[in-house]
Amino acid sequence: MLGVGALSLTLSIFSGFYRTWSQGVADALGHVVIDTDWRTRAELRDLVTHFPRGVQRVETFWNSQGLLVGKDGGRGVLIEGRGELAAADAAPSESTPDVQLKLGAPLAEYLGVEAGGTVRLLLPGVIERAVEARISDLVRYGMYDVDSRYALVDDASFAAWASVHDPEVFARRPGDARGLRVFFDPAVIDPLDVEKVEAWRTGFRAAIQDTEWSFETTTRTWREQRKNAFGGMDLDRQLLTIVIGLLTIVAAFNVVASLVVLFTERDREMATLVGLGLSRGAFTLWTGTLGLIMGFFSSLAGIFVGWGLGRLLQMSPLGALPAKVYNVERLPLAFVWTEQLSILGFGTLCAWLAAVILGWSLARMDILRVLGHRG
Amino acid sequence: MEVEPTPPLAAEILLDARGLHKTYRGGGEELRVLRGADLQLRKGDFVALLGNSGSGKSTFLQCLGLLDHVEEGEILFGGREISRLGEGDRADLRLRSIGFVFQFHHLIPELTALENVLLPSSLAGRRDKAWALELLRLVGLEDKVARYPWQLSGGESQRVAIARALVNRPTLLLTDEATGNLDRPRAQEIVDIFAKINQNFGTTILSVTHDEGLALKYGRRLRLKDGIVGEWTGD
Repeated sequence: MLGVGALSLTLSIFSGFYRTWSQGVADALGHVVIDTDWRTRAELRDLVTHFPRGVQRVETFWNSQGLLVGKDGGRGVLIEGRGELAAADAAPSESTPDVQLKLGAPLAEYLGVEAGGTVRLLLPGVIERAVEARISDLVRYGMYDVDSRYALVDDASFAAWASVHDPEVFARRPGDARGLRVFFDPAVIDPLDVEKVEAWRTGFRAAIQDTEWSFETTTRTWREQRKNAFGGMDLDRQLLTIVIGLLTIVAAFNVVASLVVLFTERDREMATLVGLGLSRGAFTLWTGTLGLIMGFFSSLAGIFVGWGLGRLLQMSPLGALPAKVYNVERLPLAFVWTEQLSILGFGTLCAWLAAVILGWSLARMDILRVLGHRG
Repeated sequence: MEVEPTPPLAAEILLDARGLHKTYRGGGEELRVLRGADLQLRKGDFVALLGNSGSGKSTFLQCLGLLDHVEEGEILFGGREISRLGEGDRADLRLRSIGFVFQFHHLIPELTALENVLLPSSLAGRRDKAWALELLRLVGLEDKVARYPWQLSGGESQRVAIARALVNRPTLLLTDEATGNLDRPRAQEIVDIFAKINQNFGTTILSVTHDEGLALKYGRRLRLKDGIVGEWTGD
């Protein structure tokens, strides 16, 4: 039971991490990213005509490193310009609007700024100058790595600002972008379903392969955007599953130990039954059934134990995690029913197998010796 | 109780054991218990098997009841050779055709008298409560069917064991010192029950006993000596 509980808890924690991280990465960075070199919106719109169905929203992006300075301090961040693909190419502005940006809540907290306030943005790459930017919103994707390192600049406001303050740069790249962030319609494509996202990507690659395309693109799924993190998590998950799975097998043999004790105490009754004509097969079937029942219910209990322990952990101080290390602030838990069902099946199977082996050995007992009729 | 005479010789042979050999080995020694034992039982026979302690009576009975294996010889049951059968078939014969009563009753303590009697029929998949009650009535325990073994005397427990051995209507009943733990009056009651069973159902009964007085109640008496079965002459 405890082995199954540990397996259940471990897998639900991993599933929780996986779900939280993947949701955070996908929501923040797009379900699929198409990278290219600097392109106009018109060129990128042409690209979109080859998208397979299922896309809900497409955003243009460019990115650069930068420095954000707030009243409490400064931090080097990733500046990402985001714009609507449908929008027209930017035209020179007649006013001098603020550059608008969205900050992750942890980053804003670090800088000591709030929504509606301003920060100083130093751009060494795209535009080498300092910009006073207004914080239009604070966001929280649930992935600390993103929430604390990204500043999402509204591309339209930036272009308008550049047309006034840096017309030379603006003239060179009015509304250009380095690629597209694609967001799926969840009703058509589950964004977290890796296989479906892969299928969409394959379809897109096939579609543009058939055309005379003028520029190179690379396509990455959300999982590939954090390949190392998810790869590491998969490895940890597999290793722990194997280790705890082995422990569960040992635990299942403890069920057998209980049966051995039971049968050792009741060996005369067992021998009587065999003497009366209970066949070895029937005896094995009987012990197997006992093992199956015990295994099923103890595994079921183990899953409840894992679930309860998980909830307790979440509520306890141990549930608070350092976000800088784990990317999330609370211990994430996700009880995936298919996963839990597999654990239930695994625990039950182990107990059944162990009981069948035991039954088979016990069925070969010398009944006359057990009944005291042989010296 | 008056004992019926054994059926005539022409009656159909139920059990035919030929040249049975059995040797116990241990501690570098060999004990040859059966040395070519033969036995023929006809349908409806009521036979006592006598012999000294350690003569191999129980071993012989256990071999006939398929609880043990012989090394040589053959056992024909209803004309079919059964000594070389596999464990499954042996268990099936024990369950359906051969009843066995030990010196100790070996009842399941958690089951009532009725449930104990019903056990073999449950194992055989033909649970017949009315028949079990009839058997309990036959052995004089109709008012104790709901009692547990610990609520029964030794003689009563043995009677439950007899009813249990009969519940699947075996054609052969083997009893191994079934009265050995009982006082004289209780022992006589048990043998009377055996006689009644033999009479009422035509069940062939072979009883191992060391009590010559009780053996006189049987229709036929045999003796096992030096690993060979012979007629008991009373000396």
